[in-house]
Amino acid sequence: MSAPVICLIDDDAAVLKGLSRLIATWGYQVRAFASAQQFLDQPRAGDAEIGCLVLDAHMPVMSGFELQVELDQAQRELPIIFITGAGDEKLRTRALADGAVGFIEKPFEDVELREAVQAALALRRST
Amino acid sequence: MLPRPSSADSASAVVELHNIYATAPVGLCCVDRDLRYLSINDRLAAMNGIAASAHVGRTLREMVPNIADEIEAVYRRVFATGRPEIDVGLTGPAPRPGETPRTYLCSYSPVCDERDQVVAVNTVVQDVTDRYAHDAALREIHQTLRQRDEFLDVVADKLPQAMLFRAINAPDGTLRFAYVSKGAEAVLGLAPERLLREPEAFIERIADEDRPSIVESMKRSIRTVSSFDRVCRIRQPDGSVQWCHIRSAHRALENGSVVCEGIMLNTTGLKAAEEALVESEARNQAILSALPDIVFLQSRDGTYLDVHPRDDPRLLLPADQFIGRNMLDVLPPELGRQLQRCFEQVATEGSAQADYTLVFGGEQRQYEARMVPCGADRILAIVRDVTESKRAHHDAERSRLELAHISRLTLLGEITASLAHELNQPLTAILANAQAARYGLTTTGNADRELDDMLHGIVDAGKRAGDVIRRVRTWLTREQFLPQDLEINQVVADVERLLHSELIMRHVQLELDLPPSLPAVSADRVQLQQVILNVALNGIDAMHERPVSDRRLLIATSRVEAGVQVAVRDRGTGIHPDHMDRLFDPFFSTKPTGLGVGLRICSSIVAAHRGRIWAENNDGPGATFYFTLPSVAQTA
Repeated sequence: MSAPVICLIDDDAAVLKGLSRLIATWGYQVRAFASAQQFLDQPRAGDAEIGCLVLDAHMPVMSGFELQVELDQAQRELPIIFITGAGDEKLRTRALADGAVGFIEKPFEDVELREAVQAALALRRST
Repeated sequence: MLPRPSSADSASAVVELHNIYATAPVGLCCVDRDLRYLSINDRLAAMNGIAASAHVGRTLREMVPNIADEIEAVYRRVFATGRPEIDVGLTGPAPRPGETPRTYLCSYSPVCDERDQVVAVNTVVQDVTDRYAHDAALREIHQTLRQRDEFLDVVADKLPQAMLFRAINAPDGTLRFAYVSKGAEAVLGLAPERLLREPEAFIERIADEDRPSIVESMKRSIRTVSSFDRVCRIRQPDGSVQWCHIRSAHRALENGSVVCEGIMLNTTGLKAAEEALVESEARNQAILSALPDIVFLQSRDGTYLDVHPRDDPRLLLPADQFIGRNMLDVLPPELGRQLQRCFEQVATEGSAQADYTLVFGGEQRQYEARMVPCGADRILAIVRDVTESKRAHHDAERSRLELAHISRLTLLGEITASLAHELNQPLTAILANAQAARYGLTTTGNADRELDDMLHGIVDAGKRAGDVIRRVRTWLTREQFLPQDLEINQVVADVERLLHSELIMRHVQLELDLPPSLPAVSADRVQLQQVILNVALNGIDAMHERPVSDRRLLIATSRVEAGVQVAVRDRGTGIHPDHMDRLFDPFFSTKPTGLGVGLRICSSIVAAHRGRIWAENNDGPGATFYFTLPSVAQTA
């Protein structure tokens, strides 16, 4: 079994590139997307090999939250870890209530994200 | 001496004739054809100055030689013609020297026998000397009176609105006019001739409501022979009512009549002028009463002459304690001097104004006084208590400042939040890269203690920067969101109040379309006010180059599927299509001094309320901003 695929979605190119490198150093495959739409454009058939989504909550056109709703409606049960530069308790509560497995405020230490990813993958395997 | 009766039948006639001779107040005689006296009564004898008995049988010429020629001719004529001659005048000498000559009136009647022959002439002689004199005097009096009436007429003609009159009130109470000038036409609407003929026409002309009292008072003044002076209304033939002033003097005559002489004046014009004066006075009074101001009438030197209203509780002193005194003695010294300078300014510039404060009833009150000249030597000072309006103005100003302060705080929060977001992104990248680099060093076995230490430093500093931003954000966003159930129309009404002074200053007309019974929303009142206010102020800004008549802003609420919708429509310059997508981006602004956070704030607030905000250009001029909020039912 090949390494799980982590899909990273963030509209900030520098963040996308930096986090891709970081996640890759942990031994995962990383697919980076600059927008929610770009992710949706991928064939759904690939979902099986996706371990989890690391998703920026605030993006133009379609936010991370909107993507979450979209996926939920499409019954694509992909674990989501939100990362946000402008989060607060309300958003966290809302995101977790809607089924997110993690909610991390930027900037963060690698350990935070790593643990969240590991938890998401464990969840993914159990279902 | 009488001729003897010729038969017994005529005896009684003779007795009667004898009596007539004796008692008639005239001279009587009978003369035969020879012009001798057959008989004469004592009165005529006395006129002739000779005893009656001495006449009989004597000729006229013997008895009255002075007038014999004159009367013999008359007698001969009567004897010749058989016709009487009546009222033949005759002048005789004065009975005594120094007296006036006598004037007689004589009538001669022939006496005929059975054959119709004139046998004698009866003569009646009247001494009319006194009567003639009396008539002459009467003629003179009449002439004088006529001249006086003519004079009256001349005078009366010069008084077109006046009627001179003389009326006689008979003892039986009937009144008739003896003289009426032509003015009757103008005063009573009656021809003078008619009034002379029908005196009651005058009474009929008096208006019904005045007639009883005028008639009563006229009767009283006639009864008491006192003067009459009354004003009454006269109904003219054309139906109009005119005012008439009647004055007359009364005097009693010996026969019990009372003469009323006087004048009737048509005073309608005067009355109208008087009424106009009264009305103008009343109007002034009404204006004064309607004024919220206190009005002082003062002389140029500052002495109080009058005040209105007199019993106003706002007066510093009761009116009678300062009228007649100078303001320098009544007012606090400094205020007195200030107003005195104003009075000097009124003299030179025509008006002056003063704002001042007085402690009144233990409270500082503010006044505004305007002073204008009133006539040549007086000044009208109009004083208004502006404490309340100043307070209201101050309150409005303060609420505006508070709003501005809140706006600035929100602005600061939003700037910080936006900054934080913008900074968190690069920080995240920095941290990710540094940490990735450290893993890379470890996994490739190229561990370099120095290099790892440097990367560690980058990660630590990045984390510290992130902590600082987080702390500031927490501090700013704490306690700001207080949702409660709100009527959106009520929030719009709050905003209308906040916008009030701005709308006036910017000459913008606000229209509201707030249908009732919209569903309630769960929202933070202040934040919602912020959104509507911000969008409305943008709309007002966008219209500042429009003509004043076009500066209209509409705020409309409505029920939509998503809950309630608020639309703010301006008639400004509209939104450039290139800008449409970036309107709500942080730090995006089309205004030269704009920070680009206003709409960003709106967007954050609406988003936090799970609503949506967007803008569209209108078909006509300007743009409309919309936002929706879920209703309470939808939020639950």
